[in-house]
Amino acid sequence: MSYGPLLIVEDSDADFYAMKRALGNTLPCEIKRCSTGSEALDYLFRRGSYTEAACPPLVLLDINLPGMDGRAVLAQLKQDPTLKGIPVVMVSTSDNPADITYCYTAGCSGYLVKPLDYDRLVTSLQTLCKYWFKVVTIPQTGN
Amino acid sequence: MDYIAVPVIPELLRAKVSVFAELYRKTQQLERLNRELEQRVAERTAELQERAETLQQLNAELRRRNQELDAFTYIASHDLKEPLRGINNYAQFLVEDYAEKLDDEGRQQLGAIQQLIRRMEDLLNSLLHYSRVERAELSQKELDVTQVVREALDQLQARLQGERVQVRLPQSLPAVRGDRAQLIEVFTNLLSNALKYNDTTEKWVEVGVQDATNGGPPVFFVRDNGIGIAPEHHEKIFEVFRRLHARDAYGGGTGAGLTIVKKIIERHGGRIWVESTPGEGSTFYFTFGTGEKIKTEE
Repeated sequence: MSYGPLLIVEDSDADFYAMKRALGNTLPCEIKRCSTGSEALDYLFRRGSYTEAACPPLVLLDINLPGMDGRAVLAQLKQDPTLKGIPVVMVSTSDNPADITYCYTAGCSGYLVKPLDYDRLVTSLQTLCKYWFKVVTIPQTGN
Repeated sequence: MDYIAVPVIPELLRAKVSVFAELYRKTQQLERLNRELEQRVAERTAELQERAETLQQLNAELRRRNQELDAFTYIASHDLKEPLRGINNYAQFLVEDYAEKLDDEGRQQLGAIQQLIRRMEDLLNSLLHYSRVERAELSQKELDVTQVVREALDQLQARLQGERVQVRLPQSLPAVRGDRAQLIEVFTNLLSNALKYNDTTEKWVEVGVQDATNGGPPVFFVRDNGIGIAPEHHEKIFEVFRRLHARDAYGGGTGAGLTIVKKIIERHGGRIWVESTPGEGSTFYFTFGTGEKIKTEE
C-alpha cells in the first residue's frame, strides 16, 4: 500500500512535537502538518501553494485552532463529494459531551481526547494508527 | 291641559331642582373618580411594565453570567490544560533523553515537576467536574434510595474489598425524586470519605434514615467510626479545595468531594450538615428537596 502523508492539523508546536514523537517510525507514510484550519483546507482542496498536494489517507484534526476551528474544517470536508471519504479523527483537549456529539454528527470517524500523560498519548496514537493502517482498509490515496 | 290645571307648588319645585342638582354633582363626581381610576390603572400598568422590563434585564444578565461561566469552564478545561500538557510532555522528554546526564538531585527535581503537574491536572479536573455538576440538566425521577446506595457501593467495590469494612444498610429506604447519576455521586463521595478518613482496624459505615419528623422530608445519614471532624471545621469542609489534612494523608485528593455533594443536594432543594466527635466518628445528615412531592404520591 502506498499512502499520501498523514495530515495532522495542530496549532501547538508542543503538541505537534509530542504527537510526532509518539508516532515515531510506526507509520507507513510521512507526516504533513498544517497549523491552521484554513491552511488545512488549502492543502486538502489543493489551493494556493498546495496545488500538487497528495491526498492524505487520514486526517488528525485538532478542534481548537486559531481562526477557523476544527469543527468548521470538518464540516467543509464532509460537504465535499470527494474529500468526505477521507477518515477524520478529531483530537482535542476537550472532553465536553457537546463537542463530541457535534463532531460525530458532522461525520468524524473518531474522537481522541488528548491525554495529559505522554505514555498514554503514545499508546492512544499508535493504537489509532494501527487501526487505520493495519486493521481496517481505507481508500488508497497518493494523489 | 293638565299642567295648567296643576298649580305650581314652590316647595316641590325646589325639591325637584335640588334632586337634579344633586344628581348632576354625583355624576360629575363619578366621572372624576372614573378619570382618576383610569389614571391609576395607567400608572400601575406602566409600573408593571417597568418591572417586567427590569425582570427581563435581570434574566438577560443571568443568561450572560451563565455564558461567562461556560466560557470559564472551557478556559479551565482547554486553555489551561494545553500548556500544562506541554510542560508535562517536555518534562517526560527530559527524563527520556537526558536523565543519564543529570545527577540524582536533578532527577529528583524533575520528578517533583511531574508530580506537581499531575496535581494541577487533578485540580483542573475537579474544577471542571464541579462546574459541570452545577450546570448539568437534572433528569428528575422517583428513585429507590436503597438501589442508589447499592450502586454507589458497587462503584466503591474495589476499595471495599481492599479494606475490612462493615457496611450497614437497612432493608429499605424511602423514595425521593432526583437525578439518578447525581444522587449516586452523593453516596459514593460520602461513603468513600467515610472509608478514607478512618484509621481504626474495625471500620464500619452505616447508611440510614432518621425517624420521620412531622411533615418534613426524610433525613438520610451516612455515619462512620472514623477520625471525626473538629467543630470549628464543620462549615469549612464544604468549601471547594478545602482539605484539613496534609496533601497526601488519608489517600490524598483535591478536596472537591464535599463541595460537589453539597452542590448536588442544594440543586435538589435539600440541605446537608454534619455532626461529629473527633476520635469517634462523623455523621453526615442530608435531605433531598422538601419531601412534599413524595408525600402526595404515597
